[in-house]
Order: sequence, then C-alpha cells, then structure tokens
Amino acid sequence: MMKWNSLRLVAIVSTSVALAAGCASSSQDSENNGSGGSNNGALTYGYAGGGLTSLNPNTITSGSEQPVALLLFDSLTKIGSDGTTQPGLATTWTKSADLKTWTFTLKSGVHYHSGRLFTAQDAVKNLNYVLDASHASQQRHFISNLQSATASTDTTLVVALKTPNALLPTALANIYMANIDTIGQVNQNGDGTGPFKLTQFVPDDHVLLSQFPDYWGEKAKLGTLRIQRAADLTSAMTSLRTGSLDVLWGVSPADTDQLKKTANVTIVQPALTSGSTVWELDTTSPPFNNPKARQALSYAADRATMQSAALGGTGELATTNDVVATKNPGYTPDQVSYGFDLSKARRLFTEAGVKPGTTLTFWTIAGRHPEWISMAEILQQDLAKIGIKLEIKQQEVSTWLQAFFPAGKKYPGVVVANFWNLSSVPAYALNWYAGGCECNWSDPTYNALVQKALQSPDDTARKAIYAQAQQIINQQVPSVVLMQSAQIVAASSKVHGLWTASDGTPHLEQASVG
Amino acid sequence: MNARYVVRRLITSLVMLWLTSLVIFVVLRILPGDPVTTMLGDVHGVDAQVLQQTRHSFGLDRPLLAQYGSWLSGLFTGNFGRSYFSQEPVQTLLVPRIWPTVELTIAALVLALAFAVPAAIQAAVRPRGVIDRVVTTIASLGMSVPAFLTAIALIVVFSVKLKLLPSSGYVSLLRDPGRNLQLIAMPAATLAFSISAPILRFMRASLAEATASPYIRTAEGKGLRWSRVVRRHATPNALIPTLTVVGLTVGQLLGGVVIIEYIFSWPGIGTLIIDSVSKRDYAVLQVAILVAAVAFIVTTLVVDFLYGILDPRLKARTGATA
Repeated sequence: MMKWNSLRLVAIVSTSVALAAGCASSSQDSENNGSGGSNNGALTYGYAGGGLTSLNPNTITSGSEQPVALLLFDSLTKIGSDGTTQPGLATTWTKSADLKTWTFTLKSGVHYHSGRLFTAQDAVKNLNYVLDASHASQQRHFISNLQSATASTDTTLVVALKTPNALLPTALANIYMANIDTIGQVNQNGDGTGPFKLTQFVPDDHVLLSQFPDYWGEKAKLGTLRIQRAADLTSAMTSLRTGSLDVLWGVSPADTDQLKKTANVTIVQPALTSGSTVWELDTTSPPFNNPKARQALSYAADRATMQSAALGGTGELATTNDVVATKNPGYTPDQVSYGFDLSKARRLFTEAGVKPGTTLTFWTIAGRHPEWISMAEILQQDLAKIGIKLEIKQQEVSTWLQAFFPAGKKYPGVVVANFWNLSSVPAYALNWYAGGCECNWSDPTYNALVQKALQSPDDTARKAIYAQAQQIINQQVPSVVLMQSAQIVAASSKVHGLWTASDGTPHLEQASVG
Repeated sequence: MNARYVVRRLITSLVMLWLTSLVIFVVLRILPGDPVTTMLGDVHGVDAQVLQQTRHSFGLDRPLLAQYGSWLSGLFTGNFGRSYFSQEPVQTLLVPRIWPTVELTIAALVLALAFAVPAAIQAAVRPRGVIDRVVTTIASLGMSVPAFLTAIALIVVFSVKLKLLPSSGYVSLLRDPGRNLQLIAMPAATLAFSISAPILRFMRASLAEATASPYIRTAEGKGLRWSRVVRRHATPNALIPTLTVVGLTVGQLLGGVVIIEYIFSWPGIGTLIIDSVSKRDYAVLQVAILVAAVAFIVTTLVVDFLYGILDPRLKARTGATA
C-alpha cells in the first residue's frame, strides 16, 4: 500500500510541476488565436529553413529577414512592383549638377511605433550606422561612397558623396530607417515607422505583428500578420495545402509543378527576376584561373535539361553567364552564348590543361536545395562523357561556407553551388563582381565601368556602359550562371495584394485575406 | 535509497556534467566554421577584416581556455551567455522550448505505456495466441518503420485527406487545451508508436521470464486464475527491468526528437540544438546540450528512486525506510 501511495504522490507532484512550467511558457505558441491560417484580418506567412534571428533591418544576413524588415520599417525611397524607384519617407529629392550632393525632403509628422517623431536626424543616424564598419551590414556597399549626411532641418536631409552617383535614390531604398537610439533592443521593440508594429518575436521561430494604426501611409489591410518558421520545407508545404499557412516563401523549384496542380494555391513570381543560380569558381587557382576552363564548364552545363529535370521548368536560361536578367532593360544581347556543347567543352578544357582523368569537386549544401544536387548529377554525367570526373560533396552549411568564404580563399578545382540575390538595377547587380566576389576575380577595367555607370545621369549612356561591363564578364566568365530566377512564393488563393520583388522577396504590406 | 547514496549519485552526476561540457566545448571548436562565418557568409562585401572584428567583439579570438573558463564561471552565476546570432540571452531562447519538449515526452510516454503495458500483459496471459501475434507484429513494425514515415502517413491521412487535425504548430495547453490536444495528437502518436515497440518487447520478455519463476507455479498451485497470476504477481516483477528501458527512452526524448519537431514544427529543444549546430551558435548549443544531459541524469535518478518504491527488496538492502 505504501508503495502505491508513494507512486501516486510522485505522479501528483510531477504533474503539478509540469503544469506550472506550462503556465510559464506560452511564448512558443505558434498560433495567436488558436486557429492557424486564414482568419479575418489575419495572415500566416511561412518560411522554411533558418535565418530569422534578428529584426535589425540594416544588418540583414538572410533572405527570411527581408520581408519582416519591409513590414516594420520604411526607407527614404522604395522600389515599386514595376521596378521603379518611388518616394518613401522622402517625398521629393534634388541633385546637384555633379551628382555629388543630394537633398531629400522628408515627410513630416511620421512617428515611430514607440510614438517618437521621425526626423532627418534619424536618417543621418541610420546612414552612419550602416557605414560603421563595426556593424556587418551588407547594405553598406549601396552607400559606400557617402561622404557625409546632415539634417539641415527636421525634414531636410543633405547627402554629400565622394564620387557622383546618379542612382543614389535607388540605393537608399535598401537602407531602412530604424530607431537607432533603441537599436540594441530592436528584437524586443522592432521600433520602425512601417505599417506593422511588433507584438512578439521569438528568434528562429515566429514573429507576430499587428497593424500600426498611426501609419503615415496607406494603412495595412490585415489586423495581424504572423511570420512562422517551418524547420522543414515539406512540412511547410503540407501546412500550405491544409490551410495552416497562407503564404510560403522559398518553395523548391522542383515542387512548383506539384503546387500548381494544388487547388486553392497559386505561385507568385515577379515579372522581372534578379536572382541567379550560380557555380562559383576560384579564378586564382587552377584549373579555373584559366578563363578557358571556366568557359568549358559553362559549355558543359546542360541548362535546358537542368531546368526541366531539377528546376520544374522555372527560371530563364543564362547561357551568357550574365548577372543581369535577359528580360532586364539593361541586358545587352550582344554576348557569346555558352549553350550546351560538350565538344567545345572538351576542346577548351584541353586548351586549359584540364586533361581527361582530372577530378573536379562539386561543393553543395546537405539538406537544402535538392535541385543543386540534381543539377550536379546531370553535370557529372556529361563531364564523364569527356573524361572528367566530378565528385559531388554535400556539406552542412558551416562547412560548405568555410571552403570559399570570405573572398580571398583558395579552392582549386572546386565548383561551389550557390544562389545570388542581386538587385534588379544593373549597376548594382554588376557591382557584385566589383565588391569582393568569392570568385576572387577583379578586373580594373570592369570596376571602372561599374563606377562610371553609377555616375552616369543619362539612361542611354548608362546602358552603353552596362553593355561593355557585361561583355567583359561574358568573355571572362568569373562564375558560371546557370539560371536567372527568384525565390518562389506560393500563396493561398484567398490572399490578395501580395506581390514579389525581383529577388522573390514577398511584399505583404497591402496583403489581405478573404 | 539513503542520503549517502543520493549524495554519491549527485557527485557522480556533476562530474559527468563537467566532462560533457568539456567535450562539447572542444568538439564544437574542432568543427570547421564558426558562428561568424555562418552569420556573415551570405553577406556580400564582407572581408576578412570584418570577420576578425566580429570575432573579436564576440570574444572568439581569446585563448580557448579563457573562453571555457569564462563560460563555466558564467554557468555558476546564472549568466549563460548570449546567442551570437540574435544576441538574446541563451535562457530566453532555451526555456520556452523546454515545456513543449516535456509535454511531447509525457504525451508520447502516456500513449506508449497505455498501449505497451496492457498489450504485453495480455500477450503473456495467452502466449502464442492471436493477441500475442498481433502485438508482436505491431512491435516489429514500430521498431522497423522510421518515425518520419509514420509522421508523414498520419499527416496525409488526418490532415490532408480527412482534414481532421492540423499538420503543424503549437499552442500551450493552458492557452487553448482543445487546440493543444489537436496539435499534439499526431506528433505524440508518432513517437508513441516508435517507443512503445521496445517497451512492449522488453516487458513481454520480462513477463515470459517472470512467469517461468517458481513463485508463479506456487500461485498457480494455490488455485489462482492464470490472468490474475500474471497481473498481480508477474507484472510487478516484470515492471522493474522495463523501467530501465522507459527511463532511457524518456531521457532520450527529453533531449529533443528532431525529426518529429521538424515535421510537425514543434518548437522543442531538438530543433534548437540542430539549428545551433549548423549555425555554430556555441553559446546556445553548449547550454542546450547540458540541459539535455541534465534531463538524462535526472531521469536515471528518478528511475533509481522508483526502483526503491517498486521493489521492497531493494529498500531493505539499502536500509531505506518506507
């Protein structure tokens, strides 16, 4: 009897402790009102994988942080769905004749979510924050030539540049106006001027936002918006099908066919894409220190088969290895096409000293981007036909990065699979190679052309400069570009007002459900 | 179980925890990559100088012994460090994940025991009967079918086809008990199917051994019905070794079941550990693994305690009082 009484006592104590712990812990709730998915004025947006660890909009390190930044924060300018630069917190701007001094007139009466007034001084603080080398901001390269920023009045910002930049307003669309005074607590307060304010943030799990009633612009249509992480993409796609998610970002290209056949689900893609599936090569180590070897690899890539077999037919073939999309007005068609041709590949490999029997390594990430592995297998089979062996190595992400990052590392004979999210503005897309590419490629003529493009006020003149720069990378092939595409977004057909930027970043500011 | 025994076990446990912390610390630093590389790897234009500056700001360029000493002393003062990625205190990230893991463990265990124990008893009452064969088949399936397959099958049936249960998510029990039960049903059932199999087989084997004992023949000889002999006399003895299996299983579950958490988006400790491994978020990972180790050690201590309750012979041997 004593034994069973003791057992009962243990059971009662354990259950009480467990319930008390449950009381204390509700922040992991992944549903805000007990029902996931569509609800009046509420939307659940999902992303698979990792990466949402910080709400700081000016130190974005992952694509999953970008949509949240757009909802909590504004920039001085913004890129519209048609790709044009539009006013944001800056209503108008003027430039000096030499394009080195820009004056922005800011909207008055804009408040942060905390209630504090947004002024030109906040703009100065944000620009200085991004330029501060102690903050690892990838947005820095957009304003790296900034000399000074001053607030001449509460609503007037004057920006002085070291060198002319005709595209400064476009560049400023990438710099968000956070409340720098409380940036250390941004994960707790998310204090911006955007259409949504922060209710709750659990890093790498979820973000809960609610409509900001005092928003200076067009009010959001949604009352609440939940950004929910799914550790596994398959699980996330099931959640989309069952209605637990309304929008899913980062759908694998290979799954788009299946989703297109799913009732009540639509694929949302931008008209103009600016992302690229690439194979990065070390242009300073053999064999890819020889442009012929790089060209040979491009000829060996059967892009059409990869597109249909691995990418679900999505994307545009990038046979010229250009980082500017073929549909981009800045794209120059006057380039050599490196379409699939194994005989040319064999010849060029031989000329570059890559003899039959050589082994190359394909370096990709384990557990993510299965399409990259499929593409590697296609390449492996084709290279085998010309006597070159390709070893496919899948690594977990940290080990994958360690091999080729940062720029300056040597990785001879390695083909690194990657995806670049670039700007739809050709000058900034082309600037990728001028700003420290892991391919270790640098061409002074090319770098000078990119700078010249930024300084050119005339669209026609700029386009001519783009053409020259594109022709250099077309000849040199610093990286093999397979496909131009964007991260794919899938949404319930009940969702309206959602659009995606050229890199696939979803814009939910004016989304609604119903 | 007396005071001296408890103290001895505690000291042993502390030594094990210290060794665990040392092994984790060393192994993590041996792995290629570090949190800074992973954090900034997607950031264009970052050069080696920025990486070095960032490493310095995180203290990652200090000697390893200094880093370990700081971390260890921080543990004693309640300072568990901050995530290199979110800059949140480790406990802020870790604590909210403990209860979902505990809840899933309890639910899976209750389901598993509710099936395994009666099934094993019934199989022992009628050995080689229909129930015994069915139970043995289910046990074999549970051990051979991977958990993720079971999970996917349940999702397809109950979420996609029948639309009876949500496929993923978490709501705390006290916030919305109904929704909580809906969300926990499939992950708990998936886990229960896997863990009930070894429990059932072990208990079935223990019962077979117990029913071959002389005291069972005595009980039979006294005229008791066979089912009563098995339930009242053989089962308590068969429970004791089975408790070891249960204890080990609970200890493993409390360390997080990553596959289940991934598939059902269950915010448990397993996902946190795996994410921290791939990001090399040393601060979070070290503490999370220690917590899992503590859970395992506490579970084995509890199992030892329960031995004393279930088996009066052990109590008498160690001099414990009732």
